[in-house]
Amino acid sequence: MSPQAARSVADRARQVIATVRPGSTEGHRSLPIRSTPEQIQARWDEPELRAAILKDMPVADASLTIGGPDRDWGSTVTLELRLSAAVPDIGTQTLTGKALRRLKALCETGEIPSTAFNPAARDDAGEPPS
Amino acid sequence: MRALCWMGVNDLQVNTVPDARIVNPHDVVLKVRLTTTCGSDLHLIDGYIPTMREGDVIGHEYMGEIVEVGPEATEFKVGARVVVPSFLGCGTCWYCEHELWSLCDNTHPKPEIAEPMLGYPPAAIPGYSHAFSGLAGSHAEYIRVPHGDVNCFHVPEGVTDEQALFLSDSVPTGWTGADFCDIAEGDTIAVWGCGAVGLMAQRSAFLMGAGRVIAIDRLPERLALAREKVGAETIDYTDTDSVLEQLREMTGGRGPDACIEAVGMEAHGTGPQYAYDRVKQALHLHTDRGSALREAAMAVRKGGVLSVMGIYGVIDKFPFGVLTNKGITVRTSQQPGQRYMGRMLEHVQAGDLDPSFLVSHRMPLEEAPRGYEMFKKKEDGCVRVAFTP
Repeated sequence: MSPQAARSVADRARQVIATVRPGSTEGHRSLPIRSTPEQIQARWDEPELRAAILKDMPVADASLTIGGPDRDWGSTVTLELRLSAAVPDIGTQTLTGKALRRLKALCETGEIPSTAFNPAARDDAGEPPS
Repeated sequence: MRALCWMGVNDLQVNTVPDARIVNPHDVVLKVRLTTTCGSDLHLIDGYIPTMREGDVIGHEYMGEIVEVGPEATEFKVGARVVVPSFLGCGTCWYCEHELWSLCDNTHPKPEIAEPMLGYPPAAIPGYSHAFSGLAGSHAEYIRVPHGDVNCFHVPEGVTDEQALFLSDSVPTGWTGADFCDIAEGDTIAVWGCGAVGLMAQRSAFLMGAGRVIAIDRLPERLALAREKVGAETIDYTDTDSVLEQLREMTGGRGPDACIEAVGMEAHGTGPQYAYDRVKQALHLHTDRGSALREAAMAVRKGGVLSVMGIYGVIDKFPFGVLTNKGITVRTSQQPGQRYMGRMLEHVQAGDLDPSFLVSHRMPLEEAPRGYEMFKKKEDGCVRVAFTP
């Protein structure tokens, strides 16, 4: 079996498993963010930025809690997500972590890391992610 | 633009792909002047690092000229000649502030892929699988560099493109490996591997005060480079019954003060342990052939340092008890090149660090598949191939 064929079989298997046993749709993650609580809250409350943070995630409900400072790590921020459906192949916890990392990057650097318009030799290259 | 793409295991092709472009406000785009093969690329090519996608542009060791700057990138102007450490930092997170640039919290675009494998995502590196960012690599005419202000470094007048090229990865990786050894004046350092990283670790160890450096490899031309370009003593492991015994003999019976492993998961070796590794790796029962790492752990003196710069995935039969019972300090990391760039450039300008001898072959990018074939098979004395896009 070629590596490509093996990968395609593995991808199908993961999709089937995700359908049969989708796992929890609720996630909860914390991370320190080096910004003031007011600035973190302001970023989260901005609709355009929140849409970028939650991009490609079927979010039914999201809530943010900003805790106290953790030495020089920043404020401990907790994100809770409830998805409208499980996302195949990615645990909800992991997805919640991704959203929180996007918020962290936005607060600490002013931008979200991205592979949009990424050059590659395939059909979806050079385009923004769907 | 033209770019070298991973199209499947052992299938590299130069294809036409969309141009690199500014995406985020702190980005810069470089016209790549030189980009080089790296031993860790072989792990992608051979299929040992997962999460590659057909069509990915590979390459992560490069230098070039800035041709476009994002609206919030302020440090560099179009036309600047720069070198970029392969791991990308943001400059503002806790890790970057503590000079642990390769652990940056904010540059990895796909933490959901890295996290299940590693626990936490490391910094992004371009051209090195989606678990390590998915960013397009440097074997291309152009490359996007996120957070250009903190990741690009001016190449001073008098430093050639070929010297600057290796400050992107080989030199800082070797430098990091030597720095981890906390070298005291006169120490003896043993280095497994005489590829580019191993040779740079050897040179760095001397610059940090080592009295003796002992290099271990099997390829005569690489051992010759270690002797002639670096000043190391050498051991050809295919020409001795026991590297361990020979090192013991060369160090008055106590062993090297520190051992640097600069080989990684596709180590060659001898004897039944090597045969065991090859079979298990071929069957994908583990990803690593770990003979160099095991040998380095055994060889280091009691209370010494084992500095691991080779790249590993999942290894078994690792003698952990050796570390405990000999009180070994293990240090390892991907290189934080931004931390060392100033010092490395000073040494290059002073003339006591010249990595340009690592270029054994020069080729246009269009010939990159052939270049990698030579590099992988170590044909014609190949140490590194420098590609010109």
